[in-house]
Amino acid sequence: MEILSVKNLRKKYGFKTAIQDISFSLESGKILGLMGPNGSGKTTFLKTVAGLLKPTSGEILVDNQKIGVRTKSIVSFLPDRNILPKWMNTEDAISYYSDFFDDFEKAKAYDMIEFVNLNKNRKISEMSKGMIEKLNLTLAFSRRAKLYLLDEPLGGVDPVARQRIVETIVKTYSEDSSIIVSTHLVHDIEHMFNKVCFISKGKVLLSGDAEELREKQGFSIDELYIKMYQDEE
Amino acid sequence: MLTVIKQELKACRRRWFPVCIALFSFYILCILVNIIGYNTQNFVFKKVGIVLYVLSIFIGLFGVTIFSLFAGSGNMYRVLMSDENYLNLLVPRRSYEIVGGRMIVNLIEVTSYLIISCLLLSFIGPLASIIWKGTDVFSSFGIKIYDINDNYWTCVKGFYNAVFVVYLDKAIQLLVIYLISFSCGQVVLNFTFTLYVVLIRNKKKKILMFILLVVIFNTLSWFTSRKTGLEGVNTYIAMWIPTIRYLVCSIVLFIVTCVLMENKLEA
Repeated sequence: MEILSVKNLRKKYGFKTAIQDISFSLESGKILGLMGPNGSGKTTFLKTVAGLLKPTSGEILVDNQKIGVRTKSIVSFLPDRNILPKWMNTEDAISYYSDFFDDFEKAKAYDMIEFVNLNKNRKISEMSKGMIEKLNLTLAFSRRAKLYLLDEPLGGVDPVARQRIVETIVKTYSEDSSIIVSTHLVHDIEHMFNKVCFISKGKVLLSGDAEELREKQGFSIDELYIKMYQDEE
Repeated sequence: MLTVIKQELKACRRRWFPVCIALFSFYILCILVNIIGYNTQNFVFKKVGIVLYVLSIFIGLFGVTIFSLFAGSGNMYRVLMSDENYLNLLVPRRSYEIVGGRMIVNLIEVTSYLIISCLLLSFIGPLASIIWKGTDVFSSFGIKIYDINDNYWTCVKGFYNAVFVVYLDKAIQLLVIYLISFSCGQVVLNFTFTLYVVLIRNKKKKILMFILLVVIFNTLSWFTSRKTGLEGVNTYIAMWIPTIRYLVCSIVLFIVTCVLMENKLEA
């Protein structure tokens, strides 16, 4: 079953084009790696699907619905920065998500809080970047969403926290939902991907089944990433 | 909207207690300094007491309003201009629920501050009879609250009698006009912020936003202050006419703000 359908998506910021003519679809039960260097359009794409940005043209359907209030209830977005107010503690954040999202599972959130070793009473303002990242990830994954959008979930966290985050993503994976992970830290995460999509300057350079690409190109996804973008850096 | 209200009330708690403690401490200080000044006839205490007395009235009536308008839950500045907008724009709620819910909480917040201020002012107000012995400050406004020769507690009773018995209808009207005006001010501010974020948004934001705010407020003031001929009937009718006009304009601006937020706002 198709969970995400993108047709001829374009997004411009004034005169600058961030995404030009992207089309693809994603079925349930898949983990898609959205890869590209900084400024390639990954965040813009995810934010557009999450409903934070309006497309300039094109169409996005999530579970056959146009982006709006209804799709926000089935899409769980993890942005690349902290979005929780600094006065909140872990309990407050869980209560906030639980109140606003019908698909939020409190018990799952508390389990994950234990799993990632977070203190329930610590305020966001007292947390390290890694802790905030883990809390935001916990909140995003404690929802029974149909589509998870993770924007650079490994950015700025230490290798131990990174390992925990990857484990959390794998643990949450189910056949009913799909996950899109944007990253340029490919090595740590590539084993999770069923599908990959390489983008640059707002265009899709290469996309397809991860295993097929590995066999066809003769490289790992990490090596393929380096090969594709070495001229851009 | 109930969810927004519940969460905003929770957020407002951390601000509410310190503000109430600060208000309470300031008013107690004002009363103590004035009583000490009166009893000791110390020049410094008397002068500081007068300054605190005037300040307490300003803070009690205008200070809490300005504070709530700019720092309260209903002010969408932080939601629109900081990363908090992600969180607000990600929840599956319509923009009118988010803005409306926040404004309702702000109205509850400012009302609670106002009740506390008025309660404390009712004990501070009669100090005028001590500070300015021989001068009935209130009668100069045409209000007879107490006799200048009454003792302190009789004056306090006089205040409550004036608000809840003699001038009750006028007190209610003033409260309603105040709450409507507060909400209208909040709507105009939020409309300005939203318009700015949707249409302009650049590095000189504070200057441009201020100019936009002045233009919008002036336009509204020009519209709401136009004469109808009914103003001369009495003071209260003269106050209700611009208030109702402001209310109508604010409803329109609220709708436009919500439409802009839902269809044009980007995080």
